[in-house]
Amino acid sequence: MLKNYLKIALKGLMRHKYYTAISLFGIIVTLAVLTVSVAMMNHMSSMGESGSRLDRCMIVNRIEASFNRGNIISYPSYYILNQYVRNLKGPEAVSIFSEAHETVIYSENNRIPLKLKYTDNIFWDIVELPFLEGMSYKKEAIDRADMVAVITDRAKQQVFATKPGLGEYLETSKGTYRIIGIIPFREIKTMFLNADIYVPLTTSQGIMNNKKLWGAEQALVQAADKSQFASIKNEFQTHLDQLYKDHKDEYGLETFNCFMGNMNESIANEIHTPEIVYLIGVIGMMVLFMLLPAVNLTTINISRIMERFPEIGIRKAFGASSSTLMGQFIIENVILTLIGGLIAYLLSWNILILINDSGVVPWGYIELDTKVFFYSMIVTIFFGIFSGVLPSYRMSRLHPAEALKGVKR
Amino acid sequence: MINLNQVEKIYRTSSVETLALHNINIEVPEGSFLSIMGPSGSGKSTLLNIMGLIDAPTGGEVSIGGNNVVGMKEKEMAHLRNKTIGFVFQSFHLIPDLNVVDNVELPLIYRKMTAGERRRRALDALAKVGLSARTKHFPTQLSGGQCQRVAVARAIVGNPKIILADEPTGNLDSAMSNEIMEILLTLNKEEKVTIAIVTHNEEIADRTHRIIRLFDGSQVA
Repeated sequence: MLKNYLKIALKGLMRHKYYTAISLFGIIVTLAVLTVSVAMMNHMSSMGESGSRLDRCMIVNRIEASFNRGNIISYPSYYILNQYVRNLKGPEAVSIFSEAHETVIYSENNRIPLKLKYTDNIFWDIVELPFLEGMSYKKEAIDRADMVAVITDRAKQQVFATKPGLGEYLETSKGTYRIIGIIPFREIKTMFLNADIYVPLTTSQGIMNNKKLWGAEQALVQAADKSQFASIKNEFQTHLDQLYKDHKDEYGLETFNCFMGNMNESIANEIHTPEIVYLIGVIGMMVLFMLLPAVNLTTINISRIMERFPEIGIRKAFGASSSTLMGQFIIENVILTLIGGLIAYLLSWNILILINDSGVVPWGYIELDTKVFFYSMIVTIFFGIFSGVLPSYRMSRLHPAEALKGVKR
Repeated sequence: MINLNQVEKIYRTSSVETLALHNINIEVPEGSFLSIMGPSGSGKSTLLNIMGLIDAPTGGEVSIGGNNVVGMKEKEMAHLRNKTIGFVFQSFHLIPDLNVVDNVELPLIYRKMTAGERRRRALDALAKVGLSARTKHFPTQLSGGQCQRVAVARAIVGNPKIILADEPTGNLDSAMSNEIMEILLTLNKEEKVTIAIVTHNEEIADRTHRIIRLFDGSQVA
């Protein structure tokens, strides 16, 4: 029976090329936008792949302070991260690194704008990035403020083209660095890790000498287990209380807060919304986004079924029951949406390649993973069933004689 | 084979009620050939649709082969239609995007049957109506008479005990009408298929065993 359904469904779709094309277009555009959006959100909000060290990390990336003279919202400074985060006892490891700074490199009369990130040596232990060539800088290099750099293969290609980059010197607007390691750009899968050049924190006098509370740095706090996040946060709070006491009079501090949590919490914190409300909001938006084309598809399906009233009448007259025809229409829709989903996935994949290659989104490498594909397929099947049920139900209420006459009710 | 007892059919809209059939009592014995006549709007097609279970009466009882169909579940009724009844319509009602043999196979799709068996039976049915050479043609490539022969093949492919034909010759010239009637008469005579047709043509009606005449929804003869 299922084979018959499939055969009839495919024939039906081929017969009604106009409706099939319109329905497919709606499904493909919706799912492609959705899939790309999910991939981008995943890229923005994820800490790291499940099971990785990054997955066991929290980020410290935002301070909010009110003074008697006003308020400030900023990244924290290296000074406070080093003084009040580095010495936490709960985490397995703490890494401090800067935001990505704009820098320019001139190569054979070409001006190449790149992003440079200052990091400590622990950064490389936590992010676990593979090296194509060379290695990362170690603690000694940090202590000596060695002018060494790790660059991405994409940056190497931009600056040196086919020449080997390892051991070469990179004249940046922040100083001249010797390249000691090359990492694959494609492996930088989260936004906050992204840069083209990574150099030791200690090579920036600006960062090291800044004794203010605010700066342009962040910290990664790696726990042995996610269950320890709460106790680390509690310990961090006692450090913040101490920070407040230490600097209250110096800055005229009235309140001081510093965020520690995962990326979803970070985004929720930034828009002053509880994480759960933020997540419900995101899911709600996605459901709404999916629902609108699903309603549209349902309308197209109703029109398609109306046009097929005589055929429905003939099939019913010759023994098709309503449930058989409902099954047929739903399978037609599921097949249609699966085809649409597959094309949308391939399209999304190509869109992300274009986005990544063009560099218009300077966030690192955005990729579709199996999880995104799995969700897309679930959404696709949901589309197929949802958009087929209502028209099929309406059709099932028809008497064959009415359907043969083309009566619409 | 078919029994109608005090059958009534009323069509209702929000403002109007139309009595299409009133107190119809008919018994169609197995193997008989019945024709239904009457002016346009007298309820002939409605009566045939009710006999074929493709429309529901507003009142009264209908039984097919001893099974009372009033209150029968939709799925059971679909099964009974599939096994017992074949239809032939005035405007053929072939599916335009299916070729001849696929159109004929249609009733068998809703039975448990292999694709090979379906195809074999469809080709047999087409042979009976003399259309073996047109199996891959589409309905638009056929004449009216050929379309109606395809419709007859589709009606007989499942070996139904009853064939209901609503003005099967209404759109055909006399030669073609005669051909279709010959096929139906042969089926009735040789295979003992019970047949009921709606017709305006007295000559055609005269060739059947019994004539029922309707006027304004009532049986007058």
